[in-house]
Amino acid sequence: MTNNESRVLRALAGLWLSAMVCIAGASERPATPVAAGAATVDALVERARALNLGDDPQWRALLHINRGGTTRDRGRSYVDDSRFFLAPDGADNPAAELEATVRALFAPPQAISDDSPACRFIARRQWLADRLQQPAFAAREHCAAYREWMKSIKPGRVTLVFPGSYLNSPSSMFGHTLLRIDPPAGEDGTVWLSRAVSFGADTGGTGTSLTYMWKGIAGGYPGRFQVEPYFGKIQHYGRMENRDLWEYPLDLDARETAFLVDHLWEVHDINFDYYFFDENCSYRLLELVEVARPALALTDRWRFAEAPVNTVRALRDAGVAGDAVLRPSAERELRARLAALDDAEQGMALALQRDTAVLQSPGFRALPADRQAQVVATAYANLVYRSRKVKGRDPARAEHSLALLRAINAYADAPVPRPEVPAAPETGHRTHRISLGAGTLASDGLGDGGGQEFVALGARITYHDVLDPLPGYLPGAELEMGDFSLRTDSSGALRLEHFDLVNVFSLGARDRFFRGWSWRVHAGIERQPLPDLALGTTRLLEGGGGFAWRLGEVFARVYGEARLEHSGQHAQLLDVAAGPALGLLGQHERLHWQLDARPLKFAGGFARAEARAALQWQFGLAWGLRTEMRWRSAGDGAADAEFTDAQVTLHRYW
Amino acid sequence: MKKLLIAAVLAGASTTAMADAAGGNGCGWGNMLLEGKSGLPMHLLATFINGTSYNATFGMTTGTNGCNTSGKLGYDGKSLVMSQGMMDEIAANAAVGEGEALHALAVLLGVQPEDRAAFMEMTRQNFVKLFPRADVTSGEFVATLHDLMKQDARLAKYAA
Repeated sequence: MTNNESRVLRALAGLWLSAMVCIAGASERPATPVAAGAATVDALVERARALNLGDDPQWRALLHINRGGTTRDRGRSYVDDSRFFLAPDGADNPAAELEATVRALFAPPQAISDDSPACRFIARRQWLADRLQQPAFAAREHCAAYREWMKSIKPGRVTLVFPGSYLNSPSSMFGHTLLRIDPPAGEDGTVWLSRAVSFGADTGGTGTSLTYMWKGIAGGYPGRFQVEPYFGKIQHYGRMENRDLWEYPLDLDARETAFLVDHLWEVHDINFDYYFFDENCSYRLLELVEVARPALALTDRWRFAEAPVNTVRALRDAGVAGDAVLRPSAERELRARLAALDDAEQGMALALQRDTAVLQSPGFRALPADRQAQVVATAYANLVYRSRKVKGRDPARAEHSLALLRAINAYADAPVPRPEVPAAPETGHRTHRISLGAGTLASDGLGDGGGQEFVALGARITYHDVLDPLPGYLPGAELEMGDFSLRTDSSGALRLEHFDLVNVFSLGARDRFFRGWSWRVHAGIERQPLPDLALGTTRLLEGGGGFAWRLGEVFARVYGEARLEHSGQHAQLLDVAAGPALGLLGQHERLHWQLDARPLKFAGGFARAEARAALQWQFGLAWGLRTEMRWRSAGDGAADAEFTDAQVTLHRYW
Repeated sequence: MKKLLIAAVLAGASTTAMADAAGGNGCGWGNMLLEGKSGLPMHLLATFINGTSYNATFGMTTGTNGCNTSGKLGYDGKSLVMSQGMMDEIAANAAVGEGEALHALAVLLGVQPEDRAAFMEMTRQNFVKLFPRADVTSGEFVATLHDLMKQDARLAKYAA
């Protein structure tokens, strides 16, 4: 008998044996791991090789192999944890890992405990059993920890949840994505008990904001999946941070959902790498969805810097994610309630929020019962909103709350005003931008002199500024990374005009109900007038804060700003400047405009002032035409110079 | 038996401790995750959520503001109430006889879909009994709810 023939015979024997076991196992007895000798395991390994299972996309998805989605470690697993691999080279070699897994999972039976591979790799076991036609393994019967874990999860359907952009937290500025495991349709009638699955950096609760940012960007933290009740997320995102939750149902069926959850069990305590820009919360979710449905191939092509909104787009484009359902933030709901009250009623709600005696006031009692109900409900919502960040339990506030709830309880049904639903985030302009412009620069005093025309080329890696189209983004807010512009100089050579490493700008409008904060942070390089009264390169870090107010679609702001600057020209290595800033911003449907003025005084006596007017006209979401005019002056009192430039730019969003 | 279950539900007792603290309850939320860390510019040295826990505007005193001081912040699906904030939600829902927190409570109590509306209406009609004082404890709430269910023809079967 030749080698091949004996191999075939062994394979056939294995097949026959497992067929027999399959039939036996299909009886009433609960299935147990195959009770067979080493020969069968070898046969299974052979079959696995013959089927080339090591290359199977779903196997690779289970191992989290980088298929090209990010640049680091292609062809290797993203998992940074030896507990996840059964082969010594499992992270690099899916075929070896497959073989080791087959041997571990289909070996002759030993005592099964929570630490056994059979209880740790439940999805792998199921997948291999399916492909190698082996009996299923009753994990819930044999694995206590898994059974306990599964008590709180009812895998029916999966929903992608996108908490909107939150500028007050560096890690939340681009929004976030998480998955929600819902029970089968109609079972609970509520998603509060669903499980939220999210991936994030495990910071261990130490360090400062700055170290978070650095380590998060540079991969200094391990990443882990967290599984928590969804109601915790509603409270955290929707009430405390006041972010809208956009919920996109995914069309994974019950079987795919169960497989995803079984795989989640495999990775629930496993360390991954975490890199804020590409291997982040959103990217991992794409991988999870691919485990359930590898044909989606979402992470095959290179994904540059995964912004959560682009994850949503990827799933929408793949046809997996349905239309968003908005779960409005507490703030949005409160604003809807306020909008449904007239001015006098709003005043009463504000007063009532402070003092229950208003319930007895003649003005309040004069209102019809249904209006009273609305006023009290709004006052309560306002009280809750204002109390969200207060530590500890205040007995007076507790009494007040209860009194308001009692009052609400006494009224008949009052309809709840529903907020208008804004444009869903994935319908907004795309996050990359390239630009082509032309303009002139004029200066007097020392320096260039005379008018000079230039061509400007620019690009921005991500995200959004206040003149870009608004739908899908936060009003009065700006977040940019990697934005630069090159201008031709008088000889036609390109010179860097500005480069923004990061630029964040947030207007929190104030009124009697909301006490928003407004602030900005900016770091980068730009050409500015310097003490020699010519334009030169400066490297800067600046920030500011203040107040803003809103009237319709227009914001007005008053800030104090400070700037730390380095150029070759200041007396010190770094010079410090401070000054006020005033601005107006209008964000209308097709037109956005902006006016800003700010003088800056440097510690060394040098001063700069800038006034800017900009306007952008929108053509759909992909094209915009921007006009900017800027006047700058610089000097130290003894001599000064003025620079005026104007530019028209065509922006393309893609 | 059901009473014990409700008590466990509402007292925030965790029957399974997930070793690495799944983000926790009203205390120490989000400690583990970079996501949501509040930082620049509002709190440059932020340690986040510990300073901004969602707190009750009134209601259940569970001792240390719902925080599990043992540090094991795990919970399973049965522990609906992890902080006073949850009881607030239930109370606000009970005042009007509808809402997701109340609905979730009904589900956890095993109330079948066809009886849930009746359950929620019952809490609305008995709001003052359920929340007699601003410092009512979760234990008292549980006991009152249990009694009310027992007295209700439709809901008595769930309060066994």
